[in-house]
Amino acid sequence: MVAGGLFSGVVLGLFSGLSTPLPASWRYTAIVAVALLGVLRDGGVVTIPLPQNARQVPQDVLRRSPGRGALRFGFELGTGVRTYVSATAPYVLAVAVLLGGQRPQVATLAGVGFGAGRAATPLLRRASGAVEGWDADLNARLRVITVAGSAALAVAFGLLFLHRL
Amino acid sequence: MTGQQPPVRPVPPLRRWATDPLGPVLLLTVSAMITAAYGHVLTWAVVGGLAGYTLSGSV
Repeated sequence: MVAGGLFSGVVLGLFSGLSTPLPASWRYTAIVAVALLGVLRDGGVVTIPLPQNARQVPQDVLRRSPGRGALRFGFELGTGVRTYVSATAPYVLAVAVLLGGQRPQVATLAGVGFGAGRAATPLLRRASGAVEGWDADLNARLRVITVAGSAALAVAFGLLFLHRL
Repeated sequence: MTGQQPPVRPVPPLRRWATDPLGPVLLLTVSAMITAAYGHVLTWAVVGGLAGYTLSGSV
């Protein structure tokens, strides 16, 4: 999953060069604006349809070769592309990397972090010792997780913007 | 074979608390605030982790 996230981050980082001609203040203003819009979307205040490749990684990937299949499954899930995207924060992160990821380490760190965040879910679920109960807890807290995540991104990017001034 | 379900072991409260689905959000949010307040580049890794974790409901 971490490798998948890194792959997505590096690809976005490569395209971030396109936004370099824009002044940094414009780029960071846009990032914060998109992040705030993300909070409103996750909070159900606004409805904005976003593109997604709403497909799961096919099960036969795991059937053909359990070892390699698991690695491929994790990689594809880690990219954030071949999955259902049920939250806005990944889109906000993608925009932020496109607009503010000119330094290679920014896109790399964001990608690795994304993959690790994806991997945290199955790890925590397994560590809970009661997966059914954990799934029920997750369902009950999913709205809080998505809204709090978006809000944290908006504040964090706002603080980074202040450092850019 | 008795046809009975195996008994479900109760999860210790500390373990349940430590693995609560909200835990990573709290941890990453606090980390994001601290790293962003210092303008540190690691903020990007933390917000990346948050964005990835918000997809917990997706496979």
